[in-house]
Amino acid sequence: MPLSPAQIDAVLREEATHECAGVGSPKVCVRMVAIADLPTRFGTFQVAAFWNNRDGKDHVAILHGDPLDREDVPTRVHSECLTGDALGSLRCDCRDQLEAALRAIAAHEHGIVLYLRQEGRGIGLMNKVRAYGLQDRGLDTVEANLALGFRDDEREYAVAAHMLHSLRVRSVRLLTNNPKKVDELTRLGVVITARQPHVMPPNTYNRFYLETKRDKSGHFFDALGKPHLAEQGEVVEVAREPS
Amino acid sequence: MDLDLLVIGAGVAGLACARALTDAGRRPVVVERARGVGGRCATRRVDGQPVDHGVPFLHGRTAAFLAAVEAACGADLVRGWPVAVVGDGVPCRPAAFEPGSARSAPRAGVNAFPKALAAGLDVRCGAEVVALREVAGGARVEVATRDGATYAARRLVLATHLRATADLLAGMTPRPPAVAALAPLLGLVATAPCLAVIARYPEGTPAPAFDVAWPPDGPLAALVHDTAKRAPGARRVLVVQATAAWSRTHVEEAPSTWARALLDAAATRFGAWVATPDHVEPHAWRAARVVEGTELAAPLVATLAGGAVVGVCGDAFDARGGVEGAWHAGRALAARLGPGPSPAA
Repeated sequence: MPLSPAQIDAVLREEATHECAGVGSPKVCVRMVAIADLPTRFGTFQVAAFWNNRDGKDHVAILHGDPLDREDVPTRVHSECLTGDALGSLRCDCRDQLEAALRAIAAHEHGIVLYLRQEGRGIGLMNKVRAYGLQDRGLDTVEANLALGFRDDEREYAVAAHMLHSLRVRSVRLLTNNPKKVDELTRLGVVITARQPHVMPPNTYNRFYLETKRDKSGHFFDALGKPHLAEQGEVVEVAREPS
Repeated sequence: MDLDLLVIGAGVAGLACARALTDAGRRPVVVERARGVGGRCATRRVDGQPVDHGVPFLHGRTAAFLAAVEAACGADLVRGWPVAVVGDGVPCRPAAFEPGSARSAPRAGVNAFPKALAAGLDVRCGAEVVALREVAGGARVEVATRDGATYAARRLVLATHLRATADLLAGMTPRPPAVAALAPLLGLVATAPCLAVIARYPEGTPAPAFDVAWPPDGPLAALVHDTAKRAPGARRVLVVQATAAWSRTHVEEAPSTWARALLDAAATRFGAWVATPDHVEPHAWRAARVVEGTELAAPLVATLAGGAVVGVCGDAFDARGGVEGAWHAGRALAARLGPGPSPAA
């Protein structure tokens, strides 16, 4: 069952007076300011919008069922990717990852997708497009990814940790292939009961994409031969060189 | 001269890099083309009185940078400067006036900040680097200066202005592939010129009602009341800065011509007295600032076949830009340069 109007009112009333010292060294504090129903083509959800004290981005949580005060809530942390999520880019798997996450939580009684709005000036979208531009000319180097691929990881994890705290989630089962996400969120006080691989075997929903990749024809020819970035977020998250 | 670390350029980025390396126990040598350190954190003396004709004040929002400014200039800082800010124009870095940003100006001039960073470092001024060469199979980079000196460095930092950096790397012989790969990245960054005029006024000239004015349209980008950040008794001095567009159009004219035009424009807006200083010094900054939004996110590093490392930093290599960005980029590069030679080697 989704959150009832009475539950929503109670949570938002409490959130309105929330103040804390902030999470992690960026001292991020977030506050849930609105919750509404969100029927989607992937399932019926509720969406919660968050204010935060660090950037002008409205981060959101997509909720299925009633995750409040629960243990072991299936949770996916998704970072915004305009080109993938909204425009259906085939240069990354972000859209597939997001769709798979929404379907996954819709299939569970309760679940959460944190949708972090990270793309913005100086990081993210603009530099991603600059990096794509260089790749188009065959200039794809680790150095280029570093120079264009800065992402404020620390803030991102702190935002996610605080959002889970605001949602009164006691523990989560994290849908990710990235062990670093588990380590970082644990460090910030999130209790993680398990890590569930977020892999996408061919299915009705991504077969089209996979076939397009295999079959070098049609309208998606341009996407072929481009460097393909598997895990969502990797566009702008490159391992630092060992020092 | 065989060196572990050589830094080209004693601006804030190069000095912050050398400072961080020194704090880590390394011994970098810094070479600088000009007679003094600081780059665009520039202070001139007009009859002994300091005047900032480049960066007019320091600002930042990260604790580490603000602490560095505090450590360098401490008691000499006019905190919060500029306070009286007028005009509907846009400051060159609007972020300087956003919540969470702290501003200040050293009474001795902004050059006091880089000067303090340079204290105790091996900085060789008047040494203009004219050529780079890969030597010893890429184990060293040979650096030649105009006065005929050569250095062979295992790790080389280019912290000079972008064009000079791009030209030095482009002219490197033989040109290592890792160095060639940096060129398209440097090409993403755009810079803007700024024509500036120092104008000093006769004794008794009353104080204008602003610390900095940002006129809403050209040719003036900013009018800085330099005297407002000096010790009491300082002569009235204004610094006029032209917009990037106007500067691009007039940079090839005689300095006396554009200086006159800028002072007349300032007088039209701020009063006839502005047109008649008793002392004028024009200064053309050909690359005054990095165009906002074209900064890269991190310094660049190229490793040559023999293990020599070439790093590039500056205000273009940190999304924050400006002096704060330069300082962070210098330190970020220092952290990427790897450990020093082991005693056994």
